[in-house]
Amino acid sequence: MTWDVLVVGGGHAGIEAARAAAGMGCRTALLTGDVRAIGRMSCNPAIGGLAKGQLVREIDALGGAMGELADGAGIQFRILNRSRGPAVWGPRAQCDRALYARLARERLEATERLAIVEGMAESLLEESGRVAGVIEESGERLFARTVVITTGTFLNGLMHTGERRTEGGRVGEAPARGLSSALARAGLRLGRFKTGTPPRLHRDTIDYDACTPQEGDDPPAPFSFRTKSLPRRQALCWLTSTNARVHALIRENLHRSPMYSGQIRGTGPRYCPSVEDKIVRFADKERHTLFLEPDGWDSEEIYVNGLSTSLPEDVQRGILAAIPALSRARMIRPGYAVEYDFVFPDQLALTLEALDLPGLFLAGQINGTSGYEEAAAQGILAGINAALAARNEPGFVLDRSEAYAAVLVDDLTKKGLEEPYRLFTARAEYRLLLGVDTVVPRLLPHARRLGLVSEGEYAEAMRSEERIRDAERGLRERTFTPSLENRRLFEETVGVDLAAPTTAFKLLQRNDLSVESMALISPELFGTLSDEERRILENRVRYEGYIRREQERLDKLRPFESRPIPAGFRYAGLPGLSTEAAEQCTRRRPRTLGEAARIPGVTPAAIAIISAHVARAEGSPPG
Amino acid sequence: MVDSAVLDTIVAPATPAGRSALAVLRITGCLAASIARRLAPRLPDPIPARRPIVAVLHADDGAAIDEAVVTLFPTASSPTGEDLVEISMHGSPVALSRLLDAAMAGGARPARPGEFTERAFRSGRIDLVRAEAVRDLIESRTPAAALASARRLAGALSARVSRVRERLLSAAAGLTASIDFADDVGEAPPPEVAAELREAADALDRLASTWRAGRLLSHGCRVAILGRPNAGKSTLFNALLGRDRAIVTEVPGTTRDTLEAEVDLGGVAVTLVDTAGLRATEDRIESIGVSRAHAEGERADAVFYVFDVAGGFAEEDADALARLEGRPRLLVANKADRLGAGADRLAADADRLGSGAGALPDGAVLVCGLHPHAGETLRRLLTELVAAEVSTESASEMLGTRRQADLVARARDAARDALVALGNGTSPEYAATHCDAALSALADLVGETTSEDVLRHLFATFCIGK
Repeated sequence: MTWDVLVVGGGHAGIEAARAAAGMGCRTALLTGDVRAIGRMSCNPAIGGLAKGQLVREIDALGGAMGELADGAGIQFRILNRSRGPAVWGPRAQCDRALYARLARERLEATERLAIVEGMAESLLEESGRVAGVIEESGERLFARTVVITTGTFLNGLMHTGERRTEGGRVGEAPARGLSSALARAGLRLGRFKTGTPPRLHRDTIDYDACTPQEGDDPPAPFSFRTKSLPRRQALCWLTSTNARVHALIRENLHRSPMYSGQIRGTGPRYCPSVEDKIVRFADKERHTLFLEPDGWDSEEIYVNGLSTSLPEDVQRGILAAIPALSRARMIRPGYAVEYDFVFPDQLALTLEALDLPGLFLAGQINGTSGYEEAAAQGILAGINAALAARNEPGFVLDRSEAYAAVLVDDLTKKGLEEPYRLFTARAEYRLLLGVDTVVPRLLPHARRLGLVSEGEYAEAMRSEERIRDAERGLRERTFTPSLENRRLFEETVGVDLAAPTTAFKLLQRNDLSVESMALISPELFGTLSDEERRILENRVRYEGYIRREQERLDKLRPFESRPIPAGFRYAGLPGLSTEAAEQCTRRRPRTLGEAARIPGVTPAAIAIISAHVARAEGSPPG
Repeated sequence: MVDSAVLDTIVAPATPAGRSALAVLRITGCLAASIARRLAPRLPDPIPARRPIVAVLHADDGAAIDEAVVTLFPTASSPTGEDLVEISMHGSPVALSRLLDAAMAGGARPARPGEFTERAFRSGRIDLVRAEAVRDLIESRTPAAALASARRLAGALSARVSRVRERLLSAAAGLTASIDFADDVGEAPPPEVAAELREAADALDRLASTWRAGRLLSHGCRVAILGRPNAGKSTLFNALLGRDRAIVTEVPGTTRDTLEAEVDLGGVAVTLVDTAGLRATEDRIESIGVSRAHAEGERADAVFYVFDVAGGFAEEDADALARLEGRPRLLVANKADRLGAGADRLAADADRLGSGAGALPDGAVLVCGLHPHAGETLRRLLTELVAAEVSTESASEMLGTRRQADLVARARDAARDALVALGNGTSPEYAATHCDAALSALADLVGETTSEDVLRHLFATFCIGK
């Protein structure tokens, strides 16, 4: 038989891709080397964080699984940047690693039209310039209209612990050897990156008195709009730190770190660096924070976030011995670095389909990203697009002003990649428009159109947004006149002199009034809004001007940003266009002037020239 | 919008029309070299770069046009960023016109105003501030204005702007770090952010304040001389100019129409306007003159209000002066000689009258327009009145256009807003939007993100061939 969509890999990208494709009605297969490894967290047992948490909410609003899985497996929930506005809230959940994987597998097994197949992809099947499936190591052929490859760090994976090297993408799992060369044979350029993991410690061997406890939020907030409530019970995490002795020890042994000895050639991420990297790069810092994160309710493992390293085991033991809280800790598994092949993602369209091999989609760490969330976001977009392609329908591409997921994919496919890509809020031009408070109204309508949420779910989820909008309208309509009675009420309740007739909306914009104090004056203004909805409303009202200006900026740029460049537009030989700009544009095939402008080497002058020729090609005056 | 024409080869005379010793014609674009070869087939092949070559120019039918000097500036060294050919020929309008026709037959089209500079800007050779300076230099009316433009053209202002951008970028990075790395660096934006923003806002404010002087240098200013009939306005006008431009008689109402002349005062091109004496009159011609005088009073950047000190400051003078409230003005008590003793001293070194001086109003300056040194005194007074900023600013870079001034003011306000937001505990993502706004105003300033409408409008104000 021929599958509509064949997903290779059962990690965070593969899960989302397979579920989205099946959810859109495609007969889908997920090929994995080991069904027990589905949804395995190879790095830290946590989902979300700054910018990443926003991404999880986006995946959720597109009908993805990650939010619900994290809600189900979460053992501690926190919103980072909680003291800031909702635009930069970063929801994060510490998860039970084993539970997460089990929930993920159950979820896949319960998905209609989705088959899970055990096996390793060895090479690609091609037919008349299109991908037609994969050949397994066993020689078996799987035919498919579209193939989504989500093999993470497994392509030629090589693990380093000090001088010791082991082939594999994760401890105890074999690497994918054949696929790398198959991709290269298909004409794709590959690069090599590395990423690291810290040692795992036994929970009963840590001196918690020497640590600072870190509690979850009370009440915890879920990722998914579908999750109605979370259990109150939460696990504790603990903070400790490195010190001068640790730093000295690392410096003495730097030559034994594969990164520094030259044994690892791949580039590591600047933003999630190994501890040896941190000590070299931030030489003046006296200590670095370490987060001790439990691996699950029943797990004995503690993950030492912040101590990722590829130093030899004996040095790792020395480091632990030099940290008071960990001096007697037993190491269950030493930290190690993984080196792996990735595909330069500028060879992909915004749909994540290979520009030169139709039907082939790539998503996740194979595209040079770091992080589960970045992988899952690409996974769902690749799955949706693979399904659309299998049905011969046009691709699904979000705008940078619409989702962090779009910023991620646009950056990957248009800009260069020199290190593993991690998402930051700063990567978005319109940070204030991309907050978690607006995810549902921004993305859920797309999910409904694609058939990834039901009408019932849609209506239910939009209700919160409607409540906030209704309350906002109510604030605008309610005017307090400075009657004697009102003046006394304001003076006595909130210490504000009500001098002139003022709407509740205007009052809430004052720095000395808040939803809480306004609720004392007039509780019905906020009706049944939850605490989170109240915070969102307060911010929308207070920073109305900011949000409006951001929207205006977006509207101003849109005509340029969205001006289309016809498919097959010829850049070579355009008078005045630099060879570099012409080559870059030819290779990356921007669809709009805005996309072209983000390509490295494409200057404003080049854009002017392209714009002029696009206009000429269309025979219309340029806009 | 970019006109598709931006990519064509363009041609234009670079010298003014009319007969002259020399005329210069420039061609730029991808066809420039091939057109040069077509015009002068005997040029060496390839045409050597940046070397003047004497060659005979021919029309398409082979008929000679002129003997001229032809220089090719290839893309790498061309100010427009494309091949540019410069032809220096004899200044014959007929020959020039034949050469233009021949160049167009070779595929060039006539350049729009400012198109050569526009190409220099588009190719990244110069930023927009420097492109504007090209025009300002050409249009400068005084040596000081030319100097200020030349400084901008050399990049002094651009460099100053880029230093401010560095500060704003560093502030933006600090704000961003406190958002994106809150778990590592802590939630409070680093203290340098406020310092950088303050420095940036102050630097932008200093820059914005140079516009008062810059505007005077670029646009000059208009000074009207107003007063009742026979106050001696035309005498002062002539004295200021240092020549007898206006007719002066004893007859009140001699000046009926307004009269203009330009004078360089401290680097500012000042247009002086002599006007008809203000009075109610039945004379139709004179009454038109009087209403023109009032109109000039409204329009002028500054006013010399003159009265006859012997005749005294009348109620009509007070009324006329009241209409000029809020505008820079100087009250001139003329005909000091009629006061008798000490007149010479007064004319040479004008005295401000205190309130004790009888019927004369505060701040009036006693002058004798007929004194030989009166012109000098008056020019000094006028310079103080309208051009004081220019002398204090002349040592530094100045803003040259309204566009620049608006954008610098916008950037300054945004930097201040960011500072306020930071100071009142607003979450840093909001301060970051102000910081972005300041940066984007400066990106507009140097032309990185300037809208096509603005660019088209701007280059249209250039002369053809530049």
